[in-house]
Amino acid sequence: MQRSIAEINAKIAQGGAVVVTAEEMTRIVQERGVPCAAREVDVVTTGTFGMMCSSGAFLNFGHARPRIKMQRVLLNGVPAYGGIAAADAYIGAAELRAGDPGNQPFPGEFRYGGGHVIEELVSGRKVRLEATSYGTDCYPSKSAASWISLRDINQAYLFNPRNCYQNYNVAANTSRQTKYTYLGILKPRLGNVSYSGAGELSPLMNDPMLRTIGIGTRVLLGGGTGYVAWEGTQHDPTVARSGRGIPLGGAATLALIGNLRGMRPEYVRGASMLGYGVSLALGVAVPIPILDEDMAFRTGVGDADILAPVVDYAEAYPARKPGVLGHVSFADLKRGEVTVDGRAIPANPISSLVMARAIAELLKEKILAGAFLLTEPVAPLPGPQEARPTQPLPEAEP
Amino acid sequence: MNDSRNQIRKRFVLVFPSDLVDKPVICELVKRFDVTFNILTATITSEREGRLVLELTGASAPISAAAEHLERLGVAVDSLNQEVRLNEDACMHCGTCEGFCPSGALRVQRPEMRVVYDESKCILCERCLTGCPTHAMEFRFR
Repeated sequence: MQRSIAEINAKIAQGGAVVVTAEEMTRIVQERGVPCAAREVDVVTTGTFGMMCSSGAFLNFGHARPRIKMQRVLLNGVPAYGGIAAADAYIGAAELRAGDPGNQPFPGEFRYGGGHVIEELVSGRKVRLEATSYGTDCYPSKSAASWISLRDINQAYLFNPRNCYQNYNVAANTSRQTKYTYLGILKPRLGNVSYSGAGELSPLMNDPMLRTIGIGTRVLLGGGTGYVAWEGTQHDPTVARSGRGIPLGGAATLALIGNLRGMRPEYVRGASMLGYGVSLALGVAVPIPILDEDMAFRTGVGDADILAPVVDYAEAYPARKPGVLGHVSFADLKRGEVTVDGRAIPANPISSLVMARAIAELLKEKILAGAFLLTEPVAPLPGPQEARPTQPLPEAEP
Repeated sequence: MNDSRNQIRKRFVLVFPSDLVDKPVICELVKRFDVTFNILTATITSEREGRLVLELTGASAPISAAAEHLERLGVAVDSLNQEVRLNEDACMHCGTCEGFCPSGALRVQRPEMRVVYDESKCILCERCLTGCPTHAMEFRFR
């Protein structure tokens, strides 16, 4: 059984495509087997929703009169990077408001930052722009201020260097103090573990060898149309895998791009992580074409097949020491209890399966309505054979 | 003894001045008045005052008498008219709260993986006010 993306798109256009979510596909493969699932299903929609700190937006504000180079840019008091052409800036999700006390006193609350500015823009609210510069012959102004909104500005698009991590650490804390991490609040003495990821619904778990997801793949980003721009930062599909090809730790990542106009605020949420910083909680949905039985087998992956490493965020992670406390399955994580060192430990998510399901359903509805067609990748992402293993920072010479 | 039909539960915020911190005030309360207590939160402020969120159970009259007795001792007594509420619109059901809520008032309902809030289990520790990533937990006056 083989079908091409062109054939799938023709069926979508005629309204005859069979589209299921990745959770539905897992049940179909379990109940009816791979060959039957491959025959019956054309597209599987995947989804994920969680804190993705490596996100941000390029903005062009339009030129002031008189003109200004906008060297230093603040958006609602949050610095945006202005070291690009005049009137352009990049607002990063993890940027703190200027003057934020950080972790003083500890743990810092981080109530507002770049992720919140992006949420405000997507929500249609006005954002205060303040820019300063040194003045040039062509850009004489040294300061400018205005209110901007998504309606007024020329371009506004998310360009996220690292989204959709394929598998990730489960965080634990073996110390005697509470730890405040980007994976949530960790109770002392292995009081809990926390994790991020949608398991069997997760995009890169359903195409673990990157057969169909490549550069140019059309996706839903924040509920609007987006595309895979490049491999994400720290993309490393060379890591060890289970028998069925699922990475046993963080592996592939995606750099995603998409117009802020058309995104939905419920899928683009500013977030504060106590004691850590600010971020952007983001929803992404990726369609997987069922080209053949191999893709039906891949999308049949279940939570029990996905093992994530339990890492100690008290000692091993911050000191970049190797070693894990064990591996646990997403079936156990979602059940709310895992076994580490023979001990039963409560597991809580920090990413939203409710929202991941919602965006996977949204993509399914769009495809069924003929409003979203699948794409052939323009070029493949580096796979397990081609990618360069991620390296640590070189140690400084004394 | 307490007649369970007339039992009420009332919550108070008590602030003990530093000279009262080492006295067995609550123990005496139980001996003198027909009430039982449940300590929901206990902290010592930087000024060495004690702050207690106390739930008293009993008939209405002894609870009022107990509160008056505390005030006579010099304890600042506030009947608790604040509550912690979940703003459903702000909650994204991420589940971060399940990791730090000490009483199980905030938990993830499985397998739906929705965050549910049971206010009756809330002990007013206030951790969720800063721990929730979208600030979905709010203090409100009753």
